[in-house]
Amino acid sequence: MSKTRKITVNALTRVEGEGSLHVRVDGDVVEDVRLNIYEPPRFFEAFLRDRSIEEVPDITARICGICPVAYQMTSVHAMESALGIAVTPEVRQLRRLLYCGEWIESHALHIFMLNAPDFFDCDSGIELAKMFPDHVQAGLQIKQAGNSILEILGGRAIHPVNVRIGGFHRMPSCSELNTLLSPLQSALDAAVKAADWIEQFEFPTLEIACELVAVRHPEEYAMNEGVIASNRYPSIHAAEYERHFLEDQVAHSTALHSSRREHDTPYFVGPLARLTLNRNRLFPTARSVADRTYPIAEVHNRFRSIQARIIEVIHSLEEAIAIIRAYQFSANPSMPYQPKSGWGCAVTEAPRGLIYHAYEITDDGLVKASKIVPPTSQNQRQIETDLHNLLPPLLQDDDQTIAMQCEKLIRCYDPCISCSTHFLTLNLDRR
Amino acid sequence: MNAVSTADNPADVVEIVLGLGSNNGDDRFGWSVVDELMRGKTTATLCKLAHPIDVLPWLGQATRVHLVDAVVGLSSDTAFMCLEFSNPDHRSRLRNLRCRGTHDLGVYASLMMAQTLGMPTHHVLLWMGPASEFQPLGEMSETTRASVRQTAAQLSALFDSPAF
Repeated sequence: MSKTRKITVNALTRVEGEGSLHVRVDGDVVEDVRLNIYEPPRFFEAFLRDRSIEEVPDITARICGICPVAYQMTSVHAMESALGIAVTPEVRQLRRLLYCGEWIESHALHIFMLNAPDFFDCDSGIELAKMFPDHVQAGLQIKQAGNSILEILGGRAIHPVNVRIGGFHRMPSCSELNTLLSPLQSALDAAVKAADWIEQFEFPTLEIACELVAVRHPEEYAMNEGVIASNRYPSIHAAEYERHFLEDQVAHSTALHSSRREHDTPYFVGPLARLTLNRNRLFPTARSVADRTYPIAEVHNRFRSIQARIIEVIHSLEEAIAIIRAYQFSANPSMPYQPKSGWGCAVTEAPRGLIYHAYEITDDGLVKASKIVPPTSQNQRQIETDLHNLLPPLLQDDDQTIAMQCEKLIRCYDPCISCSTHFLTLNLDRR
Repeated sequence: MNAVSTADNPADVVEIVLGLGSNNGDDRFGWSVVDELMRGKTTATLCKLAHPIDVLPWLGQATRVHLVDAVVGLSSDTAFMCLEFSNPDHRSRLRNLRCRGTHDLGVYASLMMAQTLGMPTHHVLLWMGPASEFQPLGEMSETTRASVRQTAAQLSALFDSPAF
C-alpha cells in the first residue's frame, strides 16, 4: 500500500517576493516538486511597447527594487547595440563602478541578513545579530559602502536616474567619488575578515553536477560585457541566446521556466557559476582570499554560494577603489546618437546571475518589441531539480524539518521572485 | 555609527524624514510625503529609501527620525497613524501591521535589528499611511494621495512648532 505525503511551505521566508513550495512523496520516492510562484505577472515587456527608447532606462530600473542597476544597464546596453553606439572608456568604467555598488549592497544584504542565519539555525538576521553582533555590524557597513556608490553615481539612493543611452546624464566630480574611498577601504577590510568567518561555516554536502552559465570576458571579472560561457558547452554571443535558451510557461508558476533549448536541461546562473567560470579574473585580494578559502575544483555545492558572494564583494570593493583612483573627469557624459530602426540585445550579470534583454526599435525611436529574461526564472527549473536531489535523505524527518531544509537550499539561490514574475509556501504530499 | 545626541532646546533638534517606498501604487506613500515636504520650506533632512534595513545608518545622525511608510489594513477613516517606537504598546501595534519590505525585512524587523545592535531607536517616530493597491508602476489611490497631503502637513506643523 502506498503512503502519500504532502509537504507544503505556504510562504517562503527571507526571499524577495511571494511563493510557495509543493512536494509530493510516494513512500520513499519524491514524485513531484513544484516551486509555485504566484505573484501576478507584471507584463513589463508589454508596458515598454511604443515607449520612447529614452524612457526605457528609467522604466527598467523600476522592474526590481533589489537590482535596478542590472535591469537598467542591460536595457541600455541592448539599445546601444541596436543603435550601434560605442560608449567612451570613461563611461564604461563608471558603469562597472555602478555594478560594483549593486553587487556589494545586494550580496551584503543576502550574506549577513538572509543566508548566514541558516548556518546557525537562526530564524532571522536579528537572532544572528545577537550571536555575532560584530559580523552583522560589519555587514551593514559593507552594504552602506555599496549604497553610497549607487547614490553618487546613480543620482539618488533609490532607482538610479543618471544612466542614459550613450552614457550618463552627468559625470560625477573627482571629489564626489573620492569621498567613497575611505568607506570602501574600510568595507574591504571588513569583507576579508567576513570571508575568514564564513570559511568556518559547516557547509551541508550537496554536490549536484549541473550546467553553470555566466558571462565571461577575456580581461575582466564578468559584469557588464562578454560572451555567455558554460562549463559544458561552447561559449556563445549574446545575440545567440534565444537560439540556445528557451523560456517555457508552466501551469504552477507565473514565472517562465528556462532551459537549454537543444538538450531540454536546466542550468544554473549566479555567483557560484560566475566564480567557477571567471576565477582567474578576480582582483588580487579577492583571488588570494578565494585561493585560501574556496575549493579550487569546480564547485557544485549550492550551500557554498555564500562564499562565492563574499569573494565577489571583495572583488567589487577592490575594483571600485581602483576605478575611483584612476578616474578623470570628462566633460562629455554621453555619446550623441540618432534613433534608427534595429534590433539589439545584451547580457550582463545581475547579483543573482545572468540577465538578458533584447529590443526592437522603430525608425522614430520607439520600442516595437522587447524581451527580458531575469536570473530567477533561469534558475527556477534547476532549483526544482536540486530539491528532488535534496529530499530523499530527509524523508524520515518530520514535515517541519523538511520544509526548513528546503527553504535553506532555496535561499542559497537568493531568488528574486518579484522580478521573476514575470516564490515560498511548502506543500509536501506523501503517499 | 555615530551616537545620537540629545538636544536641550528645540534649536538643536536635528530632524530627519526617511520616506520608504517603491514604484508600486500606494507603496509610493513614503516617497510622496518626502516630495510634498520638499515643495515646502523645511529644515529637516529629507531622504527617500527603498529598503527598511537602509534606515539603520541614519539612526545615529539625528535627534529625531521620522520614518514614513505605507501600511496595509488601516481603517478607511484613518488618514495616517503616528507611532513612537519607544512606546511598548505602539511597538506591539507596529509588529502586527503589514508593512511592505523586501525579504521579510520590514520596518519592525529592521528597527529590532538596530536595537539588537545597540543603535538608538528611542527617537524614531513612525508615520504610517494607508495602502491597498500595489500595482507595479501604478499610481497611488485617491485615499493614499489624500493621506500624503495630511501627513506632510502634520509633519510641517510639527517642525514649525517650538514646543515639539
